[in-house]
Amino acid sequence: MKRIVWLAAALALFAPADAALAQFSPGARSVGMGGAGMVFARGVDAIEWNPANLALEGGWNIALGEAGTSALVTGADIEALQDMFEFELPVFTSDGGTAQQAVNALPASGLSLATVSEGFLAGSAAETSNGALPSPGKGYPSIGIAWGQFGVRVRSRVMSDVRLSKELVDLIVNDFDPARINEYQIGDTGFRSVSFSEITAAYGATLGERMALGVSARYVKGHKLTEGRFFEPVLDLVNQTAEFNSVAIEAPGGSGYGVDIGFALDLMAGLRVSASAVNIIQKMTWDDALIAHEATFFACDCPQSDFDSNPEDLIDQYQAGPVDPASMSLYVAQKAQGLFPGAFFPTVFRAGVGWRPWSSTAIELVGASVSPQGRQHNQWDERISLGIEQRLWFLTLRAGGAKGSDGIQALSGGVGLGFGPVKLDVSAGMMSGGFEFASGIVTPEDVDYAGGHVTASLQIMGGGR
Amino acid sequence: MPLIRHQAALAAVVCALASCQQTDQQLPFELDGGGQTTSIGPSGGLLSVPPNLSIAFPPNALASTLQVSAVERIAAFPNEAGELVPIDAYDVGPAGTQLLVPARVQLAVPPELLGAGDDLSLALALLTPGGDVITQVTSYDLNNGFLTADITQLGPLAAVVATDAIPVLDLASAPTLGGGSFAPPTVSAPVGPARNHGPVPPGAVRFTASCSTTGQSCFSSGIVDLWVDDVIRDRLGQDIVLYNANVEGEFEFSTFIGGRPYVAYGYMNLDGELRARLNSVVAGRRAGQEIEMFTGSGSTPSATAVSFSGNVMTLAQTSEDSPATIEYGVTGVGTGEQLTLQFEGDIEFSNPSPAPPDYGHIVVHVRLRR
Repeated sequence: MKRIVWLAAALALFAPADAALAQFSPGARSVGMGGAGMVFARGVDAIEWNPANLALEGGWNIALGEAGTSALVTGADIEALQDMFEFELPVFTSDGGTAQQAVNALPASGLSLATVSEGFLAGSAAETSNGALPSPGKGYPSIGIAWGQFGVRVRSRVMSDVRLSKELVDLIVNDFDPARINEYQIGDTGFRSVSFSEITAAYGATLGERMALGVSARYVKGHKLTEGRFFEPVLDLVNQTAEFNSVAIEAPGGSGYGVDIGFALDLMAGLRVSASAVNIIQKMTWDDALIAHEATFFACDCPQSDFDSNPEDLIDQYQAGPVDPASMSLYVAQKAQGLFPGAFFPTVFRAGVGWRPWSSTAIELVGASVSPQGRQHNQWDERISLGIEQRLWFLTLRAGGAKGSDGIQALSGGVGLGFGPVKLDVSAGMMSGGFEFASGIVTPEDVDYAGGHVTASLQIMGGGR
Repeated sequence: MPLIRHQAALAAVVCALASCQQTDQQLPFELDGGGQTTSIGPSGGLLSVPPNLSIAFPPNALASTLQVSAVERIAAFPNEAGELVPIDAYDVGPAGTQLLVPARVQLAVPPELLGAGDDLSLALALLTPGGDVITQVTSYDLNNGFLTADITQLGPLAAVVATDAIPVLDLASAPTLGGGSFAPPTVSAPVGPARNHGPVPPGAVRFTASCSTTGQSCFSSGIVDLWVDDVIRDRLGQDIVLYNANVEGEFEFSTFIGGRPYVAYGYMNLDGELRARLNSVVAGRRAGQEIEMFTGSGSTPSATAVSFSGNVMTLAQTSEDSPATIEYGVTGVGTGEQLTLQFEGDIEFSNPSPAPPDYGHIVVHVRLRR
């Protein structure tokens, strides 16, 4: 059972998203409203969602930080994920459940895990890495300030996805069995991770009394771009052994910029339409001094088997070195070729309509679409969200739901506490292919997704609408 | 009106900006697969021509430091080992350099270049200074198109698809041979000493079988058929072929009494590579010692007594069993006769210790003619 715990830890290392510190998307308000929240976003939130709102909403705002977690598993629904956790949790009580049961609970097609993390905390958590394994690098702390029509925000992110075949988990957990040599399959086991920090300055201006335009300019500091995978084993059928090769290619830094624009129009009192385009201009250049992390694991029914020793020893076999075209394995060459294509931020278009019948209530319907170019975006970015927010004196309640691309559905809720200008917001939600209790409203999709998010933010704000 | 002008201007700016899409960043080096020379010493090293070829020299593969090169081959690569895959072949030199420890070669062979089923017959061919083409036992990653093999000497390398891969079938479908008798010789005399490929001795009849990668193809000649049992099929999968087969066999029968021989002399060698598709990998193993037999009690073939009963011939002494029973069948072919012999062997498959190994059974029909 120790092995499966180790495997989870190794996954966390490979996908340098520290799951405990991940964030779903900027702003606990948006998370609580199921991904809506754009139309009446204000302050630092508006820098992300629609800079035009800086002009319409006004006021001042200091964002002191955000923390949260967001993870989406593809290949298993919530029930299957619960089955896995039921086997895994007894690890901590040392009774019940076996590693084999946990392996059996994995879907045959393997799992895919996508995470988005707050980069400063994730980078700090991974600082202990000795360099042989790729790490996300250290991001800037997430802070922001908005004053009237202006706003500046600093934030960091680590986005990653990890794909894992059931057979590889089986191998690591149960050691190599020559009688099953024809079963070991790596498939698409691998990961891709990008970490970066952004410094964004935004400005919103009114055009007439009811319309506003906004623009944001962003400097992007790339920390790490990493892509890695395992390859199918090299089999020796005479000696009945196998060699598993693993490679990760890392661009150790980069820089870029982006420009966003936004538009907001108050059609009538309390009714607003809003649209924005993030990264309408964008450029991202990664460092050329690529680093390769390589390891070969030998598997046999003998004491020399790498899978016969402590699983954590596998990590020690990784060696890092600069990529040299005169001396690179084909594994490195293949992975290097896959690193840069699409390694930039796509344009994300958002449009929404919001109704604020009175100052304490807001309802928003927001849609978001991602241009096909650029891979560096959240899997959850393409969606339509409906959310509601209700303020009750010092308390703010939020709820929302969303339907995303590929059939992802989400339900979220959140609560905000206001103590004078100090606002503490906490939101959480679940993602799935569908929710049975809501099937009368939204038909469940025949897809296996399971995920969740929790976000908390602390802000000081005042003035404005 | 000013508002409309503002909106129109904004729309124009948005459209213009939206057309600015970033293109993919290029790698800082060219991966053209052209050629490379590097110095490799006794401590080992890697020679790489990305993205097509890499050769990893382990420590002590070379006794002294050498300039090792791999350049795209201009001259045609001999096609005697099979059909060349339409990718670059490489001259790896100094050609003929013997390696003290095998080096690991990887060649990129995109799966889309292979025809249906060709993955099972794919091999790395090495051209020796003597002009022989040696194919290596390989492992092929079907997902990524990496062909991996170990070589013990340097020389031109190419990927080939063998044209003589013989399908290995399920043992349950193996036919039973019909026995029968063959025509005695016109002259009656005892069998003489071994005369490999020499004239048939007086008073004897001789059946021979021969096919190879360089001569008559075993596949097209129909000389060999193979079947394996479920143990092998479970271990190696359902798609198995015998690749690079070489068969050499000869059986002489003499001392005919009443139309039946009482003395036999012969041998049979079958060598090849069993290749199987195991999930996303095609891998092979040599099969040779499993199907190897000669008559007599010594270390070389010699005459032994033979008897017939039904469809079984019993050889008094062989290198495998004494006595050895062999299923056989005789059929007429044109003006001659065809003797089909059934040979059997076992392949060992290990299990996690301390469990004993499993043994898979392989059955081969070899057709010999006179």
